[in-house]
Amino acid sequence: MARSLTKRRFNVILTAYLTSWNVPKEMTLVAPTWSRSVLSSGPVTEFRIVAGAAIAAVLYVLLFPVSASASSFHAESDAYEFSGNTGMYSVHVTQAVSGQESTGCSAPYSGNPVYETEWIIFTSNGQNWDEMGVGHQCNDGYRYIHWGYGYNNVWYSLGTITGTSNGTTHNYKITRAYTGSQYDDFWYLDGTLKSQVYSPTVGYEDSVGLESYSSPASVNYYASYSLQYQHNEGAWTNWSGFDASGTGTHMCGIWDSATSWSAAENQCGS
Amino acid sequence: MSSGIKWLGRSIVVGVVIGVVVIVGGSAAGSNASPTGDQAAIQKCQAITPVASEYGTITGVLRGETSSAGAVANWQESRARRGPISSFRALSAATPVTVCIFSGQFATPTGPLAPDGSPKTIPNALRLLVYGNDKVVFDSAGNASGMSPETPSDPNAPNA
Repeated sequence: MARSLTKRRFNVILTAYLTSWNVPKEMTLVAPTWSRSVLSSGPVTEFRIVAGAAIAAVLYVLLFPVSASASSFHAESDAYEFSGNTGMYSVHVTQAVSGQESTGCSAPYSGNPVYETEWIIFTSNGQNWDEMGVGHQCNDGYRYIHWGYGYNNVWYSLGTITGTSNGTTHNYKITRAYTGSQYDDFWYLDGTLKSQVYSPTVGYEDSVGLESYSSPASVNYYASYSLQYQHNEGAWTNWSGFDASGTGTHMCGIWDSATSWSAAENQCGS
Repeated sequence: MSSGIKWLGRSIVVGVVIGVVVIVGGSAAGSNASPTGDQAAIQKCQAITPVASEYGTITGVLRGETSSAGAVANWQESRARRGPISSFRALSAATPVTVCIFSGQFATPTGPLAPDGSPKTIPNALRLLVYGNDKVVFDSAGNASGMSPETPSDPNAPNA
């Protein structure tokens, strides 16, 4: 069921905004009119002025590193099943994270999280999706199971359960069904319904993987397995096609089988 | 000190001054213009900026609006993909609630890489709700252009 891979750009490194230090464009120095007399002194003087401005820029970056938020890092390790469009099922352990920043210690979706996740993608531009998984923050001292959806590139959380333990295994299921008046999506954790939301359209494809906002975090390979999909509310079916995968900077991933994708961060050799 | 400056030359000092002016001026110009909304709400949003900063890097308040628990509940239940019952139903409908939208860089889920290869962007807007004794509730975060209706009073919001 694989669609043409030539139309996709999974070989493109996922965006990692490590260099977005927010130094203004105005750093390209243009001498103001009043300095003409100084500039007219010759190229050595011009060099010194540019050097002086460069010194100011370096001092700015050194003195105000907060503008280079650690959240400017963002990368993923994802696998895809093109046939899935109304249901996604996966099982995975809550994998330990080490080396993560000690940020985001009191609220979900804050600091520099690492998410172990499954998705149903609704639109080809990726701006609409369903999601369920586990978030790690605060140097892995703050963990939670989360579920919700993205709509027009905005994340709407439907719920969180804090305190899930590393080493525990859960199964995650998102499925679509007709309620008698409309189609809804349903989020299940270990077989228990957690949320129900209107679902106006079938999806585009299914995915599973690891999403990180923490460049120093280390995550050993862990498998999302027993991967299954539903197509048009049909029977649950095993993933089968090794359809596509992609890994960003610091991230790694490998197919263990057609129904198991292992992801890791900064531990690609182990 | 003066001999050091003389050694470097006045021009390098001029360069440093120019650099500082350009950087500071550029930062000011790059930060948000005046936030929109009512003044009480904007002040409330500015006051909770330290809390908002836990979600990422805040560059400013984009919008603040004083609303009510009833209006917020209607708005939350009717926007985007309707269905979930708003937690603000638990409050008296008249309870004042402030809607705050911040600009910056945040770390909410963005979904997997887009099928058509569209790049993923780091969320640049955060919406928080404040009620009671500065109790702050996460509402949503993502790309600012996708947040409509931004507040319960927006034209395309329910009961606006």
